[in-house]
Amino acid sequence: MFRHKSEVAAVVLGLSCIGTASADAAPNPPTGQIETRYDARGPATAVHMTSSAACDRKGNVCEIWYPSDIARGRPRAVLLWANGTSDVPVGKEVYEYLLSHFASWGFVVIATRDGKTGYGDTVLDSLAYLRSQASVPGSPLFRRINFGRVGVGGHSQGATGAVNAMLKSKGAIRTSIAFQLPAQLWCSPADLCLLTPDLKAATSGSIFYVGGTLDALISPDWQLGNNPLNSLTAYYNATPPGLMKAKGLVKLANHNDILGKPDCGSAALGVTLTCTFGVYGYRGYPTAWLAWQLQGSAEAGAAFRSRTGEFFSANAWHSQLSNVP
Amino acid sequence: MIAHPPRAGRVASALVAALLAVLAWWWLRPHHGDEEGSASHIVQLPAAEQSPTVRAVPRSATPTTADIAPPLPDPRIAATFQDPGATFRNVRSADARNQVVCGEVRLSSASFYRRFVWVAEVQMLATDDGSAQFAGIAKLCDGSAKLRP
Repeated sequence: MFRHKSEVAAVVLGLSCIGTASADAAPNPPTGQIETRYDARGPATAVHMTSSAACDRKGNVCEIWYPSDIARGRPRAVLLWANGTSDVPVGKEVYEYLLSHFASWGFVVIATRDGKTGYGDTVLDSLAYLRSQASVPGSPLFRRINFGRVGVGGHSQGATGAVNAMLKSKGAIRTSIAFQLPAQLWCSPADLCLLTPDLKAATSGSIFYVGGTLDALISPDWQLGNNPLNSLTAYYNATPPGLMKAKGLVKLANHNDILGKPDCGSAALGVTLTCTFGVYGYRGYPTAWLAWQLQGSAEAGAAFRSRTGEFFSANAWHSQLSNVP
Repeated sequence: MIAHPPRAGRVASALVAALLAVLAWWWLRPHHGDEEGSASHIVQLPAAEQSPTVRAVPRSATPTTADIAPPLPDPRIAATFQDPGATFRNVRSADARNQVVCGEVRLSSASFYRRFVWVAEVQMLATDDGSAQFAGIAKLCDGSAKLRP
Protein backbone atom coordinates (compact mmCIF):
# COMPACT_ATOMS: atom_id res chain seq x y z
CA MET A 1 0.00 0.00 0.00
CA PHE A 2 2.74 2.43 0.92
CA ARG A 3 4.54 1.65 -2.26
CA HIS A 4 1.42 2.53 -4.21
CA LYS A 5 1.09 5.86 -2.43
CA SER A 6 4.69 6.77 -3.05
CA GLU A 7 4.27 6.01 -6.72
CA VAL A 8 1.30 8.35 -6.90
CA ALA A 9 3.21 11.02 -5.04
CA ALA A 10 6.13 10.70 -7.39
CA VAL A 11 3.99 11.16 -10.47
CA VAL A 12 2.09 14.06 -8.98
CA LEU A 13 5.35 15.66 -8.02
CA GLY A 14 6.44 15.39 -11.60
CA LEU A 15 3.32 17.14 -12.76
CA SER A 16 3.76 19.81 -10.15
CA CYS A 17 7.24 20.46 -11.41
CA ILE A 18 5.76 21.37 -14.75
CA GLY A 19 3.81 24.05 -13.04
CA THR A 20 6.85 25.58 -11.42
CA ALA A 21 8.95 25.75 -14.56
CA SER A 22 10.15 29.12 -15.61
CA ALA A 23 9.48 29.84 -19.24
CA ASP A 24 12.33 32.31 -19.39
CA ALA A 25 14.98 29.95 -18.05
CA ALA A 26 18.26 30.15 -19.91
CA PRO A 27 18.54 27.90 -22.94
CA ASN A 28 20.90 24.96 -22.67
CA PRO A 29 24.29 25.98 -24.06
CA PRO A 30 26.67 23.21 -25.09
CA THR A 31 29.59 22.53 -22.78
CA GLY A 32 31.68 19.64 -24.09
CA GLN A 33 33.85 19.71 -27.19
CA ILE A 34 31.71 17.23 -29.15
CA GLU A 35 28.44 18.80 -28.11
CA THR A 36 29.72 22.25 -29.03
CA ARG A 37 30.84 21.07 -32.43
CA TYR A 38 27.55 19.45 -33.37
CA ASP A 39 25.39 22.08 -31.74
CA ALA A 40 26.54 24.46 -34.44
CA ARG A 41 25.36 24.19 -38.00
CA GLY A 42 27.39 21.81 -40.13
CA PRO A 43 29.70 22.74 -42.98
CA ALA A 44 27.06 22.41 -45.69
CA THR A 45 23.95 24.38 -46.43
CA ALA A 46 20.74 22.38 -46.23
CA VAL A 47 18.82 22.21 -49.49
CA HIS A 48 15.12 21.35 -49.41
CA MET A 49 12.82 19.79 -51.92
CA THR A 50 9.37 18.21 -51.82
CA SER A 51 8.72 14.93 -53.57
CA SER A 52 6.84 15.26 -56.83
CA ALA A 53 4.73 12.21 -56.06
CA ALA A 54 3.37 10.30 -53.12
CA CYS A 55 6.08 8.62 -51.12
CA ASP A 56 4.06 6.43 -48.78
CA ARG A 57 1.10 4.07 -48.80
CA LYS A 58 -1.23 6.80 -47.57
CA GLY A 59 -0.53 9.11 -50.48
CA ASN A 60 1.54 11.66 -48.58
CA VAL A 61 4.36 13.51 -50.21
CA CYS A 62 7.77 13.68 -48.57
CA GLU A 63 9.98 16.55 -47.50
CA ILE A 64 13.66 16.04 -48.26
CA TRP A 65 16.68 17.94 -47.03
CA TYR A 66 20.16 17.22 -48.30
CA PRO A 67 23.57 18.88 -47.98
CA SER A 68 24.50 21.41 -50.63
CA ASP A 69 27.79 19.61 -51.26
CA ILE A 70 26.16 16.25 -51.89
CA ALA A 71 27.76 15.96 -55.31
CA ARG A 72 31.21 15.74 -53.74
CA GLY A 73 32.81 13.10 -51.56
CA ARG A 74 31.38 9.78 -50.51
CA PRO A 75 27.68 8.93 -50.81
CA ARG A 76 25.76 10.24 -47.85
CA ALA A 77 24.04 8.55 -44.94
CA VAL A 78 20.26 8.74 -44.58
CA LEU A 79 18.05 9.90 -41.76
CA LEU A 80 14.39 8.91 -41.99
CA TRP A 81 12.03 11.05 -39.94
CA ALA A 82 8.73 10.18 -38.23
CA ASN A 83 6.42 13.07 -37.27
CA GLY A 84 4.45 13.43 -34.08
CA THR A 85 0.68 13.06 -34.13
CA SER A 86 -1.28 15.27 -36.49
CA ASP A 87 -4.71 15.13 -38.09
CA VAL A 88 -3.46 16.86 -41.19
CA PRO A 89 -0.33 16.36 -43.28
CA VAL A 90 2.71 17.71 -41.48
CA GLY A 91 4.21 20.57 -43.44
CA LYS A 92 7.91 21.07 -43.89
CA GLU A 93 8.01 24.01 -41.52
CA VAL A 94 7.11 21.92 -38.46
CA TYR A 95 10.42 20.10 -37.99
CA GLU A 96 12.46 22.06 -40.50
CA TYR A 97 14.85 23.68 -38.06
CA LEU A 98 16.17 20.43 -36.60
CA LEU A 99 16.01 18.38 -39.79
CA SER A 100 17.89 20.97 -41.80
CA HIS A 101 20.45 21.03 -38.99
CA PHE A 102 21.04 17.31 -39.53
CA ALA A 103 21.27 17.85 -43.29
CA SER A 104 23.93 20.52 -42.79
CA TRP A 105 26.05 17.76 -41.22
CA GLY A 106 25.87 15.69 -44.37
CA PHE A 107 22.76 13.57 -43.92
CA VAL A 108 20.04 13.13 -46.48
CA VAL A 109 16.86 13.56 -44.46
CA ILE A 110 13.45 12.41 -45.66
CA ALA A 111 10.16 12.90 -43.82
CA THR A 112 6.78 11.73 -45.01
CA ARG A 113 4.04 14.20 -44.14
CA ASP A 114 2.15 11.39 -42.39
CA GLY A 115 0.75 12.43 -39.02
CA LYS A 116 0.15 8.88 -37.81
CA THR A 117 3.57 7.34 -37.97
CA GLY A 118 3.50 5.09 -34.92
CA TYR A 119 3.56 1.78 -36.74
CA GLY A 120 6.61 2.82 -38.73
CA ASP A 121 5.23 1.53 -42.01
CA THR A 122 5.06 4.90 -43.77
CA VAL A 123 8.58 5.62 -42.58
CA LEU A 124 9.77 2.47 -44.32
CA ASP A 125 7.81 3.61 -47.39
CA SER A 126 9.81 6.83 -47.40
CA LEU A 127 13.01 4.79 -47.45
CA ALA A 128 11.76 2.86 -50.46
CA TYR A 129 10.88 6.13 -52.17
CA LEU A 130 14.35 7.48 -51.51
CA ARG A 131 15.87 4.37 -53.03
CA SER A 132 13.84 4.95 -56.16
CA GLN A 133 14.89 8.58 -56.39
CA ALA A 134 18.54 7.70 -55.98
CA SER A 135 18.31 5.66 -59.14
CA VAL A 136 16.91 8.46 -61.29
CA PRO A 137 19.55 10.11 -63.49
CA GLY A 138 19.37 13.85 -63.20
CA SER A 139 18.24 13.78 -59.59
CA PRO A 140 20.67 15.46 -57.19
CA LEU A 141 20.42 12.26 -55.17
CA PHE A 142 21.39 10.02 -58.07
CA ARG A 143 23.97 7.53 -56.77
CA ARG A 144 24.77 9.91 -53.93
CA ILE A 145 23.17 7.99 -51.07
CA ASN A 146 24.71 5.23 -49.00
CA PHE A 147 21.84 2.89 -48.18
CA GLY A 148 24.10 0.88 -45.97
CA ARG A 149 24.03 3.79 -43.53
CA VAL A 150 20.41 4.47 -42.69
CA GLY A 151 19.09 5.82 -39.41
CA VAL A 152 15.71 7.00 -38.22
CA GLY A 153 14.47 9.59 -35.79
CA GLY A 154 11.04 10.60 -34.61
CA HIS A 155 9.14 12.73 -32.17
CA SER A 156 6.35 11.67 -29.82
CA GLN A 157 4.19 9.16 -31.71
CA GLY A 158 6.95 9.38 -34.28
CA ALA A 159 9.42 8.16 -31.69
CA THR A 160 7.48 4.93 -31.53
CA GLY A 161 7.35 4.94 -35.31
CA ALA A 162 11.09 5.41 -35.52
CA VAL A 163 11.90 2.47 -33.30
CA ASN A 164 9.18 0.33 -34.88
CA ALA A 165 10.57 1.11 -38.33
CA MET A 166 14.03 0.05 -37.20
CA LEU A 167 12.71 -3.15 -35.69
CA LYS A 168 10.75 -3.96 -38.85
CA SER A 169 13.57 -3.09 -41.22
CA LYS A 170 15.41 -6.40 -40.79
CA GLY A 171 18.70 -4.64 -40.28
CA ALA A 172 18.36 -2.03 -43.01
CA ILE A 173 18.08 0.72 -40.38
CA ARG A 174 21.11 0.82 -38.12
CA THR A 175 20.08 3.28 -35.46
CA SER A 176 17.16 5.26 -34.11
CA ILE A 177 16.69 8.35 -31.99
CA ALA A 178 13.43 8.42 -30.07
CA PHE A 179 12.58 12.00 -29.07
CA GLN A 180 9.94 12.29 -26.31
CA LEU A 181 8.81 8.67 -26.55
CA PRO A 182 5.37 8.46 -24.88
CA ALA A 183 4.79 6.15 -21.95
CA GLN A 184 2.82 3.06 -22.92
CA LEU A 185 0.04 4.44 -20.74
CA TRP A 186 -0.72 6.86 -23.57
CA CYS A 187 -0.85 4.22 -26.27
CA SER A 188 -4.36 4.15 -27.67
CA PRO A 189 -4.69 1.95 -29.60
CA ALA A 190 -2.07 -0.20 -27.94
CA ASP A 191 -0.53 -1.55 -31.10
CA LEU A 192 0.30 1.99 -32.17
CA CYS A 193 2.94 1.84 -29.47
CA LEU A 194 6.39 0.53 -29.16
CA LEU A 195 5.37 -2.81 -27.69
CA THR A 196 7.42 -4.46 -24.99
CA PRO A 197 7.80 -7.85 -26.71
CA ASP A 198 8.94 -6.19 -29.93
CA LEU A 199 11.55 -4.11 -28.13
CA LYS A 200 12.83 -7.02 -26.08
CA ALA A 201 13.13 -9.16 -29.19
CA ALA A 202 15.39 -6.67 -30.98
CA THR A 203 18.64 -8.19 -32.17
CA SER A 204 20.18 -5.37 -34.18
CA GLY A 205 20.36 -1.61 -34.28
CA SER A 206 20.89 0.98 -31.58
CA ILE A 207 18.64 3.43 -29.77
CA PHE A 208 19.17 6.86 -28.26
CA TYR A 209 16.24 7.83 -26.02
CA VAL A 210 15.95 11.61 -25.72
CA GLY A 211 13.51 13.27 -23.34
CA GLY A 212 13.00 16.49 -21.48
CA THR A 213 12.96 16.95 -17.73
CA LEU A 214 9.62 18.78 -17.89
CA ASP A 215 7.91 16.21 -20.09
CA ALA A 216 6.74 14.28 -17.04
CA LEU A 217 3.20 13.99 -18.35
CA ILE A 218 3.80 12.25 -21.67
CA SER A 219 7.36 10.97 -21.52
CA PRO A 220 8.49 10.68 -17.90
CA ASP A 221 11.94 9.51 -17.04
CA TRP A 222 11.20 7.33 -14.08
CA GLN A 223 8.68 4.92 -12.62
CA LEU A 224 8.56 2.28 -9.93
CA GLY A 225 8.65 -1.10 -11.55
CA ASN A 226 9.29 -1.75 -15.22
CA ASN A 227 6.03 -3.02 -16.64
CA PRO A 228 4.29 -1.59 -18.54
CA LEU A 229 6.96 0.66 -19.98
CA ASN A 230 5.85 4.02 -18.66
CA SER A 231 9.17 5.83 -18.54
CA LEU A 232 12.29 6.36 -20.60
CA THR A 233 14.30 4.48 -18.00
CA ALA A 234 11.99 1.49 -18.36
CA TYR A 235 12.32 1.60 -22.14
CA TYR A 236 16.08 1.84 -21.78
CA ASN A 237 16.19 -1.10 -19.40
CA ALA A 238 13.95 -3.16 -21.70
CA THR A 239 16.26 -2.56 -24.65
CA PRO A 240 18.40 -5.68 -25.01
CA PRO A 241 21.99 -5.21 -23.85
CA GLY A 242 23.21 -6.46 -27.20
CA LEU A 243 22.06 -3.19 -28.74
CA MET A 244 24.03 -0.01 -28.19
CA LYS A 245 21.80 2.32 -26.24
CA ALA A 246 21.82 5.67 -24.49
CA LYS A 247 19.30 7.84 -22.71
CA GLY A 248 19.26 11.44 -21.57
CA LEU A 249 16.91 14.32 -20.85
CA VAL A 250 17.39 17.89 -21.97
CA LYS A 251 17.06 20.07 -18.90
CA LEU A 252 13.81 22.01 -18.63
CA ALA A 253 12.65 20.82 -22.03
CA ASN A 254 9.03 19.81 -22.46
CA HIS A 255 7.22 17.70 -25.03
CA ASN A 256 7.39 20.13 -27.95
CA ASP A 257 10.61 22.02 -27.39
CA ILE A 258 12.05 20.05 -30.27
CA LEU A 259 9.78 22.05 -32.61
CA GLY A 260 11.57 25.29 -31.79
CA LYS A 261 12.95 27.43 -34.58
CA PRO A 262 15.00 27.70 -32.46
CA ASP A 263 12.79 29.20 -29.75
CA CYS A 264 9.18 28.40 -28.88
CA GLY A 265 7.84 31.72 -30.06
CA SER A 266 8.39 30.72 -33.65
CA ALA A 267 7.65 27.04 -33.21
CA ALA A 268 4.28 27.21 -35.01
CA LEU A 269 2.52 25.95 -31.93
CA GLY A 270 -1.07 26.77 -31.25
CA VAL A 271 -0.81 26.35 -27.52
CA THR A 272 1.65 26.98 -24.75
CA LEU A 273 1.51 23.71 -22.87
CA THR A 274 4.60 21.90 -23.92
CA CYS A 275 7.40 24.16 -25.07
CA THR A 276 9.69 25.75 -22.51
CA PHE A 277 12.29 27.51 -24.59
CA GLY A 278 12.86 25.65 -27.82
CA VAL A 279 15.19 23.29 -29.63
CA TYR A 280 18.33 24.38 -27.79
CA GLY A 281 19.96 21.32 -26.35
CA TYR A 282 18.52 18.95 -28.95
CA ARG A 283 21.08 19.75 -31.59
CA GLY A 284 24.44 18.66 -30.23
CA TYR A 285 24.30 15.10 -28.94
CA PRO A 286 21.60 13.79 -31.28
CA THR A 287 23.72 14.97 -34.22
CA ALA A 288 26.80 13.46 -32.61
CA TRP A 289 24.97 10.14 -32.17
CA LEU A 290 24.14 10.11 -35.88
CA ALA A 291 27.70 11.11 -36.81
CA TRP A 292 28.97 8.16 -34.79
CA GLN A 293 26.44 5.57 -35.87
CA LEU A 294 26.09 6.54 -39.53
CA GLN A 295 29.25 8.45 -40.46
CA GLY A 296 31.69 6.45 -38.40
CA SER A 297 32.99 9.26 -36.20
CA ALA A 298 34.74 7.46 -33.35
CA GLU A 299 35.32 10.78 -31.63
CA ALA A 300 31.60 11.45 -31.55
CA GLY A 301 30.98 7.95 -30.26
CA ALA A 302 33.45 8.41 -27.42
CA ALA A 303 31.21 11.13 -26.04
CA PHE A 304 28.65 8.47 -25.15
CA ARG A 305 30.97 6.12 -23.25
CA SER A 306 29.24 4.98 -20.12
CA ARG A 307 29.91 7.35 -17.24
CA THR A 308 33.16 8.70 -18.70
CA GLY A 309 32.02 10.24 -21.98
CA GLU A 310 31.40 13.97 -22.10
CA PHE A 311 27.68 13.31 -22.50
CA PHE A 312 27.63 12.38 -18.82
CA SER A 313 29.00 15.72 -17.68
CA ALA A 314 27.03 17.92 -20.06
CA ASN A 315 25.34 20.79 -18.27
CA ALA A 316 22.30 20.74 -20.52
CA TRP A 317 21.51 17.09 -19.91
CA HIS A 318 20.13 15.07 -17.05
CA SER A 319 19.67 11.40 -16.08
CA GLN A 320 22.09 10.09 -18.67
CA LEU A 321 22.60 6.38 -19.22
CA SER A 322 24.47 4.38 -21.82
CA ASN A 323 26.00 1.00 -22.32
CA VAL A 324 28.68 2.26 -24.69
CA PRO A 325 31.98 0.66 -23.67
CA MET B 1 17.61 -30.39 44.98
CA ILE B 2 16.72 -29.47 41.48
CA ALA B 3 19.29 -30.15 38.80
CA HIS B 4 19.73 -27.15 36.51
CA PRO B 5 20.09 -27.95 32.83
CA PRO B 6 23.47 -27.20 31.33
CA ARG B 7 23.93 -23.56 30.11
CA ALA B 8 24.30 -24.62 26.48
CA GLY B 9 21.01 -26.43 26.69
CA ARG B 10 19.21 -23.34 27.99
CA VAL B 11 20.59 -21.25 25.11
CA ALA B 12 19.51 -23.85 22.58
CA SER B 13 16.01 -23.94 24.05
CA ALA B 14 15.74 -20.18 23.83
CA LEU B 15 16.87 -20.20 20.21
CA VAL B 16 14.34 -22.86 19.29
CA ALA B 17 11.57 -20.89 20.98
CA ALA B 18 12.57 -17.75 19.14
CA LEU B 19 12.66 -19.60 15.85
CA LEU B 20 9.20 -21.03 16.45
CA ALA B 21 7.90 -17.56 17.24
CA VAL B 22 9.32 -16.15 14.02
CA LEU B 23 7.85 -19.00 12.01
CA ALA B 24 4.46 -18.50 13.64
CA TRP B 25 4.55 -14.80 12.86
CA TRP B 26 5.58 -15.47 9.26
CA TRP B 27 2.74 -17.93 8.79
CA LEU B 28 0.05 -15.74 10.34
CA ARG B 29 1.17 -12.33 9.05
CA PRO B 30 -1.06 -10.37 6.64
CA HIS B 31 -0.13 -10.97 3.02
CA HIS B 32 1.04 -7.60 1.72
CA GLY B 33 0.66 -8.67 -1.87
CA ASP B 34 -3.05 -9.17 -1.24
CA GLU B 35 -3.32 -5.79 0.41
CA GLU B 36 -1.67 -3.94 -2.40
CA GLY B 37 -3.35 -5.77 -5.20
CA SER B 38 -1.58 -6.34 -8.44
CA ALA B 39 -2.26 -4.28 -11.51
CA SER B 40 -4.05 -7.20 -13.10
CA HIS B 41 -6.44 -7.44 -10.15
CA ILE B 42 -7.25 -3.78 -10.33
CA VAL B 43 -7.82 -3.78 -14.04
CA GLN B 44 -10.58 -6.33 -13.65
CA LEU B 45 -12.57 -4.01 -11.43
CA PRO B 46 -15.02 -1.43 -12.69
CA ALA B 47 -13.40 1.96 -12.77
CA ALA B 48 -15.94 3.17 -10.25
CA GLU B 49 -14.33 0.88 -7.68
CA GLN B 50 -10.90 2.36 -8.00
CA SER B 51 -10.97 5.73 -6.36
CA PRO B 52 -13.10 7.79 -4.03
CA THR B 53 -13.56 10.31 -6.82
CA VAL B 54 -15.19 7.80 -9.07
CA ARG B 55 -17.25 6.06 -6.41
CA ALA B 56 -19.71 8.91 -6.58
CA VAL B 57 -20.50 8.00 -10.16
CA PRO B 58 -23.65 5.88 -10.66
CA ARG B 59 -22.61 2.30 -11.33
CA SER B 60 -25.32 1.39 -13.79
CA ALA B 61 -23.94 -0.54 -16.70
CA THR B 62 -26.47 1.00 -19.07
CA PRO B 63 -25.90 4.68 -19.64
CA THR B 64 -28.79 7.06 -19.32
CA THR B 65 -29.25 10.18 -21.36
CA ALA B 66 -27.89 12.16 -18.47
CA ASP B 67 -24.82 9.95 -18.37
CA ILE B 68 -23.95 10.63 -21.96
CA ALA B 69 -24.56 14.37 -22.03
CA PRO B 70 -22.85 16.64 -22.71
CA PRO B 71 -21.67 15.49 -26.12
CA LEU B 72 -18.00 14.86 -26.70
CA PRO B 73 -16.12 18.11 -27.15
CA ASP B 74 -13.60 16.58 -29.51
CA PRO B 75 -14.46 13.81 -32.00
CA ARG B 76 -10.83 12.72 -31.99
CA ILE B 77 -11.39 11.25 -28.54
CA ALA B 78 -13.96 8.78 -29.86
CA ALA B 79 -11.82 8.10 -32.91
CA THR B 80 -8.90 7.13 -30.72
CA PHE B 81 -10.82 4.20 -29.26
CA GLN B 82 -11.58 2.81 -32.72
CA ASP B 83 -14.85 1.51 -31.33
CA PRO B 84 -18.06 2.94 -32.84
CA GLY B 85 -20.03 1.33 -30.00
CA ALA B 86 -18.15 3.09 -27.25
CA THR B 87 -20.24 5.24 -24.92
CA PHE B 88 -19.06 8.16 -22.85
CA ARG B 89 -20.13 9.99 -19.75
CA ASN B 90 -18.91 12.77 -17.50
CA VAL B 91 -16.78 14.17 -20.30
CA ARG B 92 -15.53 17.59 -19.32
CA SER B 93 -12.70 19.99 -19.91
CA ALA B 94 -10.42 19.76 -16.91
CA ASP B 95 -7.96 22.38 -18.10
CA ALA B 96 -9.13 24.48 -21.00
CA ARG B 97 -5.89 26.38 -21.37
CA ASN B 98 -3.90 23.21 -21.71
CA GLN B 99 -6.63 21.30 -23.55
CA VAL B 100 -6.93 18.50 -21.04
CA VAL B 101 -10.23 16.60 -21.17
CA CYS B 102 -11.35 13.98 -18.64
CA GLY B 103 -14.23 11.54 -18.73
CA GLU B 104 -15.28 7.93 -18.67
CA VAL B 105 -15.68 5.49 -21.51
CA ARG B 106 -17.34 2.12 -21.84
CA LEU B 107 -16.15 0.12 -24.80
CA SER B 108 -18.69 -2.04 -26.57
CA SER B 109 -16.86 -5.12 -25.33
CA ALA B 110 -16.91 -4.00 -21.70
CA SER B 111 -19.58 -3.88 -19.03
CA PHE B 112 -18.11 -1.01 -17.08
CA TYR B 113 -16.81 2.50 -17.51
CA ARG B 114 -13.18 3.42 -17.22
CA ARG B 115 -11.76 6.86 -16.69
CA PHE B 116 -9.69 8.49 -19.40
CA VAL B 117 -7.54 11.59 -19.80
CA TRP B 118 -7.07 13.24 -23.19
CA VAL B 119 -4.43 15.85 -23.94
CA ALA B 120 -5.49 17.53 -27.14
CA GLU B 121 -2.24 19.27 -27.96
CA VAL B 122 -0.40 16.01 -28.37
CA GLN B 123 -3.56 14.01 -29.22
CA MET B 124 -2.83 11.38 -26.64
CA LEU B 125 -5.23 9.49 -24.50
CA ALA B 126 -4.68 7.41 -21.38
CA THR B 127 -7.26 5.06 -19.90
CA ASP B 128 -7.40 3.88 -16.33
CA ASP B 129 -5.38 0.69 -16.06
CA GLY B 130 -5.31 0.74 -12.29
CA SER B 131 -1.72 1.86 -12.25
CA ALA B 132 -0.15 4.47 -10.05
CA GLN B 133 0.92 6.26 -13.21
CA PHE B 134 -2.67 6.76 -14.28
CA ALA B 135 -3.65 7.76 -10.77
CA GLY B 136 -1.05 10.50 -10.96
CA ILE B 137 -2.25 11.73 -14.33
CA ALA B 138 -5.87 11.64 -13.15
CA LYS B 139 -4.97 14.27 -10.57
CA LEU B 140 -5.30 16.69 -13.47
CA CYS B 141 -9.01 15.89 -13.57
CA ASP B 142 -9.89 16.89 -10.04
CA GLY B 143 -7.56 19.86 -9.97
CA SER B 144 -5.17 18.44 -7.41
CA ALA B 145 -2.34 18.66 -9.94
CA LYS B 146 -1.86 21.29 -12.61
CA LEU B 147 0.33 21.66 -15.63
CA ARG B 148 0.82 25.40 -15.34
CA PRO B 149 0.08 27.90 -12.61
